[in-house]
Amino acid sequence: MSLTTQQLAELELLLSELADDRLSQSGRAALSALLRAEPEARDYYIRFMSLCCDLHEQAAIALSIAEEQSDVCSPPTVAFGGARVVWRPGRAFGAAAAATGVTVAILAIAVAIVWWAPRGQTGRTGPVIGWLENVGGQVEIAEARLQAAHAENGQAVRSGQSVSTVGPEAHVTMRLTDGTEIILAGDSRVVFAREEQEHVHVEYGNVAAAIQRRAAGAALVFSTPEARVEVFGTRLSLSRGGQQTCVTVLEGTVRVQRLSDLRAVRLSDGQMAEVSPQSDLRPLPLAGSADHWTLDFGDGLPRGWQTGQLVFEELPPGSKAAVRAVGVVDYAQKAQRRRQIRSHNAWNEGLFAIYHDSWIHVRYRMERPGTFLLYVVCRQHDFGQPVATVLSSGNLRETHAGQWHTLTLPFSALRRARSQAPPPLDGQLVAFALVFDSPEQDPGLTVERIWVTRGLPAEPRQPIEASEASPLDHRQWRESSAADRFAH
Amino acid sequence: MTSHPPQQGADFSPGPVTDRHARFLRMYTRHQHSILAYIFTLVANRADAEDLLQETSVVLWEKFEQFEPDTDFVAWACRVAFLKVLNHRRQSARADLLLEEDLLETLAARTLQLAPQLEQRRQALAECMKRLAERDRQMILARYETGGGVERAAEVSGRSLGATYKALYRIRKVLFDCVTLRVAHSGAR
Repeated sequence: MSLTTQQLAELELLLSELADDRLSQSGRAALSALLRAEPEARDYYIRFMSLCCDLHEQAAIALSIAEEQSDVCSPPTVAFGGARVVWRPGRAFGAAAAATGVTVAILAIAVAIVWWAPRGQTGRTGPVIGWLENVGGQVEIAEARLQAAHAENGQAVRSGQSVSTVGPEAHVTMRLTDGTEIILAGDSRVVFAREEQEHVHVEYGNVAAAIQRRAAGAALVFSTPEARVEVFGTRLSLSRGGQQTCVTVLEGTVRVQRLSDLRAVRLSDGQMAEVSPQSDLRPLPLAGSADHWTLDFGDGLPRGWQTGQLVFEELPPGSKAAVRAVGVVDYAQKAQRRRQIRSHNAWNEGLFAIYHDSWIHVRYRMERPGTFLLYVVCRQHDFGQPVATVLSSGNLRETHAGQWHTLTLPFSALRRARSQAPPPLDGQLVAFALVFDSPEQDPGLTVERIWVTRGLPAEPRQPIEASEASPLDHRQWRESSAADRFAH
Repeated sequence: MTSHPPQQGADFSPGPVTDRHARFLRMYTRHQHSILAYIFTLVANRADAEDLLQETSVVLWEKFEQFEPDTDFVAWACRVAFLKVLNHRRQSARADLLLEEDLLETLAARTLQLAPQLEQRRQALAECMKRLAERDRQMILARYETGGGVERAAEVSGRSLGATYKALYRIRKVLFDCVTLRVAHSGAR
């Protein structure tokens, strides 16, 4: 038997009161009765309590980066490998531990909760450590965890502050006082802390950096929830998301340490490593970006897929699955509601390189007539400037709803999202994410396959291959591309 | 016992540490959050859960030689933790108890069964947090940070206490649904 809507609503309310320590005695009795009567309520309870516990962890991660350092209030810390160990004396923990002397002291270190706790020097923020340059799109700067403010070119960055880029095309360069460049692109957030060494904590997103040479013992440290990366002068790229950190070294040498077991490896030019508790931590050769690429969803959504719902019905012949656009709130666009499909973030490895003869093909269906846009989010092949280039198809209008179509576009027809200048198509742009975007009035966009080729397709297709439309050749398509169904 | 914990500066080796220490440390650090979540589910109080985790960790270390390497460390640790929870319960004031002992046992067993899914949900939460409105994100972080609470969340968000309770209810529900959806999607692979 499953929970009724009324029971579920009651359970949600009781659990919320329990979570905020205001559940009355009668509420406790009601909760207990529900848990006894309904297995589904017990599962819901367990998942909810687990969520609350996980929220404490999330808050600890965020706070450890930003909170004020207080010798009075902070638990004592001891150095422990690359991490910081915090020993929190328990209220009921005492005699037994004290009696076993050194052994328990060692044990205490071994079993204490390991927190990553970079902290500012004093107060919420410390001294100026650099300035912002090349601000593009929505970039925010915040002190500790206070409300973020829009960032501007030339704005100073202080230790203890966080910098965020919001949206696929957002980017910013932070130039530190020693000339080191740290670049953020896409949805990313870093926090600058300063302890013994300069320290940048990457919460999520994409970072590229060119670090000036440093003296021994004065490494710049990048940290993520999974890894600690020490650099003494190098060019590197780092992405963090999906409980995984990926580090690529373009020049120089870095030391990468996994925080879960403190194993470490050194990476040199042209090497990368994936860091997660499950990964095989070892240097891997950095593969060049492919110029042919294909993606379908027969094996499900790729790891780290950002947005979209996997669907298994009403597919074209031979297909196993497709991905359907879902509702999102676009905070970069005044909180507009949109329908989107967003691919995984392939910042480090790239999806494909783009040349003057590259074409992109998309097998898709719309449930209702409407429009959508395709954005191809790119970086430079060497992670240099400009950091992020977003290519856009402009509005694509589909009037033949309910049928599967193949959209085929040459990259030479795509335009920069915020500039009239033609994009370079000589292989220096590498796509690292794709976004399909449609307005809130859901046209039901579903994508079954995406692929990229070089050279004209074997069978030239129209930009929107309506099954009943008469075929257009490539020249005709170019001439009609300014028409309403492909209007920039 | 004269072994030492790993030392800072040991470049590529874990340092002068016994195998037993190293094995225990590796397993415990990998799974401590799962054990904490298990305890928290049963006691519904963060401070109690952390204290019980510490007590549990001492017992786990003392009994680590009894742990069979090819068996489930989390299940073994949770059995120890459950005894600690029962002991804690028996020492607590009756009025403080949320759940009866038999119900507690049922929940404990089910929590272990759901452990892999709960780990998936934990991973999904990090992604869902990123999708919160910044104001909501700040608010929920203030609620759950060490030393935080509902009052702190109200202060950060500039809302009244009543409005804060409502907002926290809404945000947790959004996160719960988001996590459920993400896990369901990944499970469909």
